[in-house]
Amino acid sequence: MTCRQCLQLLGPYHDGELTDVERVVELEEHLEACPDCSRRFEELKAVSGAARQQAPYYTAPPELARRIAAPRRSATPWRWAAALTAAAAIVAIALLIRQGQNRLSGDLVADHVRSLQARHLFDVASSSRHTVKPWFQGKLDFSPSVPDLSGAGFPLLGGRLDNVGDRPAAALVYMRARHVINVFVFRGPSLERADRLDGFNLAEWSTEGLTYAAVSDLNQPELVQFAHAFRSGSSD
Amino acid sequence: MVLRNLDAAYNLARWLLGNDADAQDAVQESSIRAYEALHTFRGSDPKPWLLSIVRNQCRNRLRGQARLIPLDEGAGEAPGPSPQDMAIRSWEGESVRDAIESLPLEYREAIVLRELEDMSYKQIAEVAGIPIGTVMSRLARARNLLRECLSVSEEAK
Repeated sequence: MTCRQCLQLLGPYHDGELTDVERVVELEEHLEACPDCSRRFEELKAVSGAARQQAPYYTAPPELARRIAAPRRSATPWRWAAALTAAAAIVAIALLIRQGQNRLSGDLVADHVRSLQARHLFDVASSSRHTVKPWFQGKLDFSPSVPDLSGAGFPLLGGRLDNVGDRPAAALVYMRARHVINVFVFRGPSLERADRLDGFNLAEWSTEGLTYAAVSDLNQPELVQFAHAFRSGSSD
Repeated sequence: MVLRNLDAAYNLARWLLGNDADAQDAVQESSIRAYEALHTFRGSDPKPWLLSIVRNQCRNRLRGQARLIPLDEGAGEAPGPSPQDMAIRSWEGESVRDAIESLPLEYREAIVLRELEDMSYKQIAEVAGIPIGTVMSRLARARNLLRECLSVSEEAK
């Protein structure tokens, strides 16, 4: 390696950005043999170290966080607090949705597939919502809607406890023809969307702080129809 | 998202704009922009995305200032150090800060993102909207300038 090449790579080497092992070996050999380049490397370390240790890191003043979260107009204190909470919630939820969407879909599809493969679809097998809904009592800190959708062509088969990511979830199992529909109910981000992953369709919505996610190999229009029926059935 | 990265946003704005009031305004404006543009965010790491908004916001402000007060370069809260002042300082906090502040904008931003924010070349490229190769050359140039600046003060001690 020439000095010129060495000097060009010193920065990336120092920053851990030189990933080509052969280049790293060549560069280190060169540094051992060449006092000039070695001195330059020491200088580089000193400059970088000085910037890291001596330059001030300006942390945001507390009032800036308040300015960002606060509403534009002045308001009564409780309104102000409510608006601040709402703004923080919006920010947090938006972040969760954007960051978590792909991972969430992956988790949901994996849970769906696992439930089919393990042949563990139900902890409680019943086509009656009056059996399935109370079964979750005491097992979760929320109570999922379990509408009767047999009239719409989606009979209930049962329910079980499951997890979505690291969140406890109720899984409700419905059927359409020979397609199993898992509806995962959990405390999650507020969202409303349809997705498709690995050949499975997903339909998600939120009510009363709970996320409902229907996953199935059923085609998308029918799954959307299911989601509509579920939501209108829940409100009875 | 903004609140989580508030220190990073403020630190960058403070370094690029040189004073607290402008930095706060720029970050507040950026948070509104970020919220409006949230649907354009793709990927898993919001920090570079957010900082690129802050960076652009700062640049817009600097451009606006340049039009209004063309000769205001560096005249912020205090008068800049004279060459003699620079020369008698060692590599202490103040001289390092002055040295970084004296760097042209794109070098200053590279140093802040790399050394203070500890971002990878890829993240810096995303913030600054430049190829990774340019990040590499800017950073090298920035460090050389810093070294020269600091060596002058060292030798003269």
